[in-house]
Amino acid sequence: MSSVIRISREVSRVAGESTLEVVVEGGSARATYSSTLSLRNFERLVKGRRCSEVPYIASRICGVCSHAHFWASSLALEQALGIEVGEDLATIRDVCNRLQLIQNHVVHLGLLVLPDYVGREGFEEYARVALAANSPLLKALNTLCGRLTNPVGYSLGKLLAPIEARHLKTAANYLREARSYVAKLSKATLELELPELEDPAPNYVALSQVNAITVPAGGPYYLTTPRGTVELTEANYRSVIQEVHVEYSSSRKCLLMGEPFFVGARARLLATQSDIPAKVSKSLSTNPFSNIYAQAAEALATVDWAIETLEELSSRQLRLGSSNPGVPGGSGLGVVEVPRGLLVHYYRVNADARIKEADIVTPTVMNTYHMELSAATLARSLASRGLSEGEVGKYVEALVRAYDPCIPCAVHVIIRGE
Amino acid sequence: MVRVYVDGVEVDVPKGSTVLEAVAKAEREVPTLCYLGGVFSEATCRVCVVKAGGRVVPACAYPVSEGLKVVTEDEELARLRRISLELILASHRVSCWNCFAKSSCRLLGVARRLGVEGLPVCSECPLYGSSCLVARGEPCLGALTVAGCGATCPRSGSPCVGCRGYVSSERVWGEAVANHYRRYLKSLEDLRTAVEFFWTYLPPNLRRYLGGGP
Repeated sequence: MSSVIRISREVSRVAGESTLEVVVEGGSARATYSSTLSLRNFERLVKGRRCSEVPYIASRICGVCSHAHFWASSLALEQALGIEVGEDLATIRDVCNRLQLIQNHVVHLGLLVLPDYVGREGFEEYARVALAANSPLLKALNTLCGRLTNPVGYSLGKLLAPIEARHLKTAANYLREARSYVAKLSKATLELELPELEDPAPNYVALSQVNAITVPAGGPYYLTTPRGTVELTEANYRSVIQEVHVEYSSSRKCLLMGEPFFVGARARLLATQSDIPAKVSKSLSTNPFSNIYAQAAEALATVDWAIETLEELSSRQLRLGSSNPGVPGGSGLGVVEVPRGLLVHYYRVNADARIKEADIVTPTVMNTYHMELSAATLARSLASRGLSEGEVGKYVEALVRAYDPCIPCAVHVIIRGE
Repeated sequence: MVRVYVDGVEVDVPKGSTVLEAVAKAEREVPTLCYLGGVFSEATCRVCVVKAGGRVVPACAYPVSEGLKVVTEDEELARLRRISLELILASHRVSCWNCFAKSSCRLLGVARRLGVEGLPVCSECPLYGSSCLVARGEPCLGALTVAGCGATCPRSGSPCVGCRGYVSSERVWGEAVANHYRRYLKSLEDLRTAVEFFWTYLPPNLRRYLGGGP
């Protein structure tokens, strides 16, 4: 018997507009995940702009991860201009990035993922928990960098508004307020039964600094992959993480030295081998759905890390360093771990401190091939068990959500031949 | 005592009271600008207009009469109040960047309430004098951008990027460029780049003030 399954649907409950198409015919399956979002030309927009403006523009790529883009572009430009960043300023920016990471995971799990597993009734309870956690997390961010999104408290190499012990303490208190809700959500997620799926390409990439999701102060960047450690440099990042353009989508896709791979919370936990609850350690390396386990574990561990770090900072004199304007010219790479995975910003700067070239590689772009492969594998196995088209559709959509894609970040340029 | 009806609420006020006093007693509110209880009630600003017995009158000066029916809010009143405020702003010399009033500015308060966009972000910015970002050489767009955000960015030390759009008054542009930006910035070049961040369309006159051709 060879039944044909054709699924083509807009994926709901993900950031942005995207379409998933799955065709299962005979023994083979094919999945494509595409976006028809129009031009979001950030790499072109920043050309010719002053370096100091670029982090503000880059942070507008996505309101959800504005800190991530702000920081990645700051790191790249600081490297390009030779600006040194004070140790504690780097840590504060790290904390801000991780607060956004927690906030992202909480909202993603509570509002977007859990409805797949707990249904309509259970959903309401978790949505409330997620929103209860969301509010203090955003307040903490506001305390540290002046705004909930699109940070304004710091600029290249310097802090704009003074941060004192009381700000750090207030932020830590907000985190304590959020902790019980994050813990509740994390526990509920870790108790879920995931659909069965064997990872078709267990190939991951994450920054390898131990116990650090993000690199404190600009390079060198080492990536952990199942095949060993790779140093990511300006010279090789395009060949290590190859971006390719496909006809059917306005967002690009990535290969790791020719192969599909995944990034994100699951990759980070596998790379650092820390914070992995014993119960989920097996599925973490074999099942793509387990990214939600990883997010749950990571969110809670990060809250504790952030409280500890803020307390430590608030108990002593801050070393913020002296800011210098840097020397125009040169180029720089900024690599950070953000909620959805690895984010790379690269800039080349003119002698008059204006941007000559910009390149942004986002985690969703890196995950897409892997996600398509997993979706095809899942659809084939479900179809062979005789599930209907509608049922298969539900599962593959849940799979896409587990990867937590963000389309606004993924579509950054759609010029043919580039 | 005289009985009046404010938006249907029955109140008794002493004879000789103004409609504004009756409105307050009925726990309703109308915006006022020039009115200063017991000191000034010459009804010059016309921001407190209400409908009393079907006629549009200034609440601060109009006396109550028995059985008077007062309407404090409707579309026509909102429009008239806005027009009054726009006329005041048109002849007001806006230079919030070096005005002492800042966030205690009555004009700003009423403008916000009536939805009139005539004042720049500088009116809400706590930075003043040498702490002003422009005075420190930053191309902050606060003097050209519509107020209402609470000056979140300058407050954190980050220059205003103009996300709320520009103030539509040509007088404000001229005043800001001539008396603020030219005073502190070496050239307007950075300002010209900064306005392109959010403002995809620049009116020709604003472009002219910034020196970027027609």
